[in-house]
Amino acid sequence: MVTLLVFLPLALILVSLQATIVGHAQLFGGHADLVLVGVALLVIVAGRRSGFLLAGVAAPLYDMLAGLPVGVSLLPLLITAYLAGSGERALFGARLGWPMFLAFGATLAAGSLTLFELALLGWSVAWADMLWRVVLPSAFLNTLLMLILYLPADWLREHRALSTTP
Amino acid sequence: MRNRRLRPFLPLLLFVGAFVLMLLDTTGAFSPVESVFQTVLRPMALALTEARLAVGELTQTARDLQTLRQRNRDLEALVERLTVENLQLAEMATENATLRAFFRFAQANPAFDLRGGQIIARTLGVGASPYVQIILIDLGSRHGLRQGMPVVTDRGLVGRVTQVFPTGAEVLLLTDPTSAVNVMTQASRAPGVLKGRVGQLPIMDFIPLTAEIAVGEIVITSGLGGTFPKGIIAGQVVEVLRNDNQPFQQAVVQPTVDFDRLELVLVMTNFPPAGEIVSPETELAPEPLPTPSP
Repeated sequence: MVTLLVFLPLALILVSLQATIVGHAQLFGGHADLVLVGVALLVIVAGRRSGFLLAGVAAPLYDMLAGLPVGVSLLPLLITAYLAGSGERALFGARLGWPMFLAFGATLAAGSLTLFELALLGWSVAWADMLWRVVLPSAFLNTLLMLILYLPADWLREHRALSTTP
Repeated sequence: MRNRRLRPFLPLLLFVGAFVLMLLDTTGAFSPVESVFQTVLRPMALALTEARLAVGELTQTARDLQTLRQRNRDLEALVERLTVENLQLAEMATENATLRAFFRFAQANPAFDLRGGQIIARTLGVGASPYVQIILIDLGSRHGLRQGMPVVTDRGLVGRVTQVFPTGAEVLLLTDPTSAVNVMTQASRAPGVLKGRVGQLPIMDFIPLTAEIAVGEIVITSGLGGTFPKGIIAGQVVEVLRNDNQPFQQAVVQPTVDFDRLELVLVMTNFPPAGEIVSPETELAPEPLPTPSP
């Protein structure tokens, strides 16, 4: 319950910012996705468990606001958290390169999975157009968004690490 | 111990869980939750939208200063063009006066087809996801909105209401790939279907090969199918795609509405979409003609 109280406001803020401000950052048919980048960043800053929890809380809110069937974004966001957590230890030494690579790769994976789910639900999905004109531009925008957000997040992570060091 | 045994099944459980959610959503089980969510989010979304517009104005001012010289040159050229257009507008003003007279006539005779009014709604945000082109507006069923109602601005067609909550609604834009609107060209009266495309301008499809359409023609709704009223401007033809081997020709259409700068929209509450049964008791029912006073 306490966890929900922590992550619900964070999810609400991310989803609201996405719908009102960040969603306006467009390239061809793609949008920057603050929720996806937020989940990936949280895994980097606070660990995989936090990312999974944020994904679980934010996904239904995201779907409701985006006009998508509720539940569609859950798996893509969980996969984003999983991918972010997988590379966290092995590749984090690469510093800025890894989060940017993660944002790009996770967007491609999450976008493809979202389209697959929508197709399963009977939506008419123009695969080639969607992948080429929506998912790929979104991946570039999310990489840029990650570049912008990573530096303050990294500062926060280091600051937190220093404050917990005896 | 128990957790470890469950671990291999976790991805499967998550997958099943997500699809259970999606199936429940198709039954409308989440509608009350979505209504509450929309109500809770409304003030925050409004505040954020206001903030975005304020910041947008500031950056716009800075850009304007940088391009002031260029704009001055452009404006001089514009003045010359506007002088010519002004003469044309004088002609249109006369036509407008006639149309206004028609409008007053319609107001004086409420039993005729033009009924009710339009509601100005504020767009709360663009759709959060790029996979569906929607806007959210801050009017809902409490304000008389119903699914299927056409949404316009003074510049033309925006789309139609696809989901209604008590204090908000979702509007599917005509640029969405799932959107299809029966249209025709204004001058040549060529019929077709305007379909949204991903990341590209909408395309007018199924135009008969015999139709002579030209770049620059205005595209309006045809009223066929009863989804939209006839005569709403949807866009302008910017390219004609004609191939004699194909049974139909196509036209790329530039919408007259700038969807990136939408702030206010109008919802046509007096237009019941096709298939919707309007009972005589509803407020949309035409009022009887006023009895002439002796």
